[in-house]
Parts: sequence; structure tokens; C-alpha cells
Amino acid sequence: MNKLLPFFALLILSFFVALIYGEVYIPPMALLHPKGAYAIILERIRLPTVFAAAMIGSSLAVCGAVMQMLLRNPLMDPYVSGTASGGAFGAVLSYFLLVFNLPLSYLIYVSPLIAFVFALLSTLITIAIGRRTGVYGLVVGGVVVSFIFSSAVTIMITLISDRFPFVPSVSFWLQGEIVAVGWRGDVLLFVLTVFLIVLGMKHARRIDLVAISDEMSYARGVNPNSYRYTWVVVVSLVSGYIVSLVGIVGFVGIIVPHIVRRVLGGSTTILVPYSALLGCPLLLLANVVSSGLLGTIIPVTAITSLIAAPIIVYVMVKGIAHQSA
Amino acid sequence: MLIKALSVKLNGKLILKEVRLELVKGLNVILGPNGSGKTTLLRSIIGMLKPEEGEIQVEGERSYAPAEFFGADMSVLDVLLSGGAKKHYQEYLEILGLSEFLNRNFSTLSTGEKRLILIAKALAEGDVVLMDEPTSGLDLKNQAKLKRVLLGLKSKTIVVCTHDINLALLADRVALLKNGRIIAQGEPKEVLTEALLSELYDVQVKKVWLDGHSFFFV
Repeated sequence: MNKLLPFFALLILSFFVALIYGEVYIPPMALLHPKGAYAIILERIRLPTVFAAAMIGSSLAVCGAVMQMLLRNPLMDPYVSGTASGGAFGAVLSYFLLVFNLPLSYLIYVSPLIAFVFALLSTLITIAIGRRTGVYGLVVGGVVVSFIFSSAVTIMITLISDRFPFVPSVSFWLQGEIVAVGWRGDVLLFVLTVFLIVLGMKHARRIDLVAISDEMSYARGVNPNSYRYTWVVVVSLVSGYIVSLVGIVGFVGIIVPHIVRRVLGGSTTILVPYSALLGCPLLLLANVVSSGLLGTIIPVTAITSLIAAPIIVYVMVKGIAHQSA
Repeated sequence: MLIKALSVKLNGKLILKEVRLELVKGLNVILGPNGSGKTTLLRSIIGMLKPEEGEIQVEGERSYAPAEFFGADMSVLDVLLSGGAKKHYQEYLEILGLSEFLNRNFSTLSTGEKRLILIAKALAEGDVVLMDEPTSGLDLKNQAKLKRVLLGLKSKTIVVCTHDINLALLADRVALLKNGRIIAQGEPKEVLTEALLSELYDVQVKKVWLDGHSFFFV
């Protein structure tokens, strides 16, 4: 259990830092006895946003870990696989239909659901492309799928934004900004995150088995392909909701499981809980930088991608990505 | 246990053609040239491939030791526990001399050692244990260990696909699979004749006696 200690320490520290540093600096003393403007900011904006960042970091890290095991590829996460881009497309599409008075404009009420549908669709397309094209196929498939859906998002937002400037910008959707997530969003995020972590831990041994061999899975009564698709649905559900809330937050699912794997080990029983724990501080701290540390708001994926880049290069150079006995 | 009139297609091509195979408790060996359908047969038994026609009457928990698998960046213990811990793997690890590997990272083992771990797992977990080329890639010491283990397990139904004719000599039952059809099956002494083996492999096979054992070579 002393393995957990540094993680919890980091978690508490980063919560603290995230509560203090944001668009408005809240002095540590004010955290303990919030008064006036600080109290309002803390309660209405800072706390819900920080909580959201923690949940999002946690769940994206777990999604990444599970995808990497099941798809046998250490470069997979909901962003690389095109899932998040599909989700962004779905969310923006529902705005688009509303704004231009197109049929089905009532879908705006269920925009997270539309995000989920397209997140799922885009992942299935990536897998269809990736299965046939060798080891980097999934990554290339994901890149292609991301291109298509991101471009569609850009086009739609550009068409909308003249008339309706309150619709979030292209950079919000494609690069993510964890701001103004209300308590209602937080509740659902919390439920989805806990659901994901519990599911991941219950299925850890099965995920390991499917990762090692399809034949061994069949022998133990697990159909590896249906199993993978079921998890794709779960990941699309969680990522789709996150994207509809804060836009595309990428690379957390690559960075965190990689670190956990190097430091603690790569079985799913280790990856799920520790990725969940490490995902929080990672995104909390990235979000601190994102929401004003450098003087202005920077989309959070820009920061996570800088952290992920050396890791991705390392994985590729070390040839870890081609797994076969 | 019986496999009746099994026909299996893969990518539209008929691989197994009305295969009738009897399996007994102990060691069953299936010999056949590359492409004869041995792996397809094993995959059908675990339900990975659905037959066009025929029946597989096999009872008991199945387990599979594959010829190819994916490198797992986890400990050997985690590999053994994957799918959920079922039995005590300790016994089989010890017999195969693998206990020292328990806490090592699976991906750092040699291919032969990895295969042995998965064989130990399959032996521990199943009543019907399927193995695809288990001796391939094993050095002589490990081959000897494996053979000793396989011969000692009379309570399980072990089905081995292999090229190793000398392993087949030690089996309780042997079947010859050529082009998706069983051309002979029965006890080793009936089936492992120069004539049948030459027909199976399309090459002249010679049998030689040495120290009371027979050996085959080309």
C-alpha cells in the first residue's frame, strides 16, 4: 500500500494547486475561509471545474489503458482512435441542426447522446481500417478518421459562428477547454467515471486474457471480438459525454498508462486503478497551465500533446508498438 | 469424446472435410503437413470457428496453449491468472521447472519459456487441453520435460497438433490429417507406419529401430 502513497500525495497537492490557480488567483488562506467574491468563484466555477478536470483525467486515463490492452497497441487512447473527434462532430452537429432549423433540431437536447453515437461510429471505422493494415494501422486509421470529423467540425462551426457567437469555438471543440462545467455535469461525470473504474477492475483479468490470445479467450468462454466491441461502446459513451462537455481532451489516455506501466507494471489489475489515480493530477495540473498560468487561456489538448509527444516517440523508437511473441 | 463429420470453412474455402475423430483420455496426437487444417481443427473445438456441418462432442472445461500469442507486459503470475484464477498453477509450474519465473515480466522470457508458461496454464485449467505445436521452439531439455508431463496426465484429454512424429510414438492415440481429411487414426503402432507417413507427408519416410525405440527420418 505504500505504492499508493505518492499517488495520493500528488493528487491532494494538485487539487490544492488547481483550486488556487485559475483564471482568478485565489490565495490559499481564502480557500479555508472563503468570503465574498472568492466564495462565489469557488462554489460556482472553481470547485465544479476542478472536480470535472479530475474526473475527466481519471476516466480518459482508464479508457486509454483498456483500449491499449484490448487493441494490443500502446499508442491507443480515445483521441488517437478518432473516438473523441467523432464525439465532437456529434455534439457540433446537434448545434448545427438547431441553428439552421434543419430537421431533427430537437436533438440538441440530447447532444451528448449524439456525441456518443458518432464517437462509436468513428471508433468502429478506425478499427475497420486498422485491422487490415498492420501494426500502425489503428493509429493511421485514427488519424484519418480524426481528420475527417475535425474538418467537418471546423466547417460547421465556421458556418454557425457568424450568426451565433455563443456557440463554442473551433478550438474549444478540437482542443478542449475545461471551463464552466456546472454541478450537473459533474454528477454525471462522477457516475460515469466510477462506473468505468469499477467495470475495469472487475474485468481486469478478462481484459488481460483477451490481450494475450484470442484462442485462449475462446477456450475460457470469452468471445474476444464481441468483448472488444462492448468495451468500445463503453469508451465511446464516456468519451462522447466528455467531449460534449469540454471538447476534445487528448493524450491523457496515452501518457498516464505509459507511466503506470513503466513504474508499476502492465497488467490491467494495476493499470486501471493507478491510471485512474494518476489521471487526476495530470489533467488538473495541465488544466492549471491551460486556464491562465501563462497569462491567457490555452486549450488543454495543446498542453497534453506536448507531454505526450516524447512518450509517443519513445514508444515508437523502442519498437514497443509491434507486439507479437 | 468424438468429433463427427466436421466440415469447416475459412474465408470461403473448405478446410476440414467431414472429419471424424475419436479422442481418448491421455495423449492424442494429430499429425499433418502444413496447411492440412490442424489449427483449424483445434480452433473449431474451442468454438472459435463455426462448422458448416458436423458435431463436436467434447465434454469438460477446455483450455488452449497457442502457437502464437501476443507479448504481455506483465508478470508471469498475471499471465497465469488472466481470465480469472481457476486452479493451482503451482503444481504444473514446478513439474515444468518454471517456478523461478513466477514474478518475472513475461515479455522478458524467451519464446520457448513463454510457450511453456502458457502450456502450464492450459494444463492446469482444462480437462480437455488443446496444444498447437507445443514442442516447436523448445530446446531438448524442455522438450523432454514436456513429454514427461504429457505422458503422466492420464486424467485429462490432451489433444496435440504437431510435426513431431517421435512425440506421436508416445501417444495413446494418433490421427493423420491430410488436406482436411483424416487418412488414418488409431494406436501409434498401427498408424505410424512408413507407408502411411510417406503418404501423409508426400515424402519417403523411413523407420529405424534404435535401443528398442523406433525413430522416423526422411
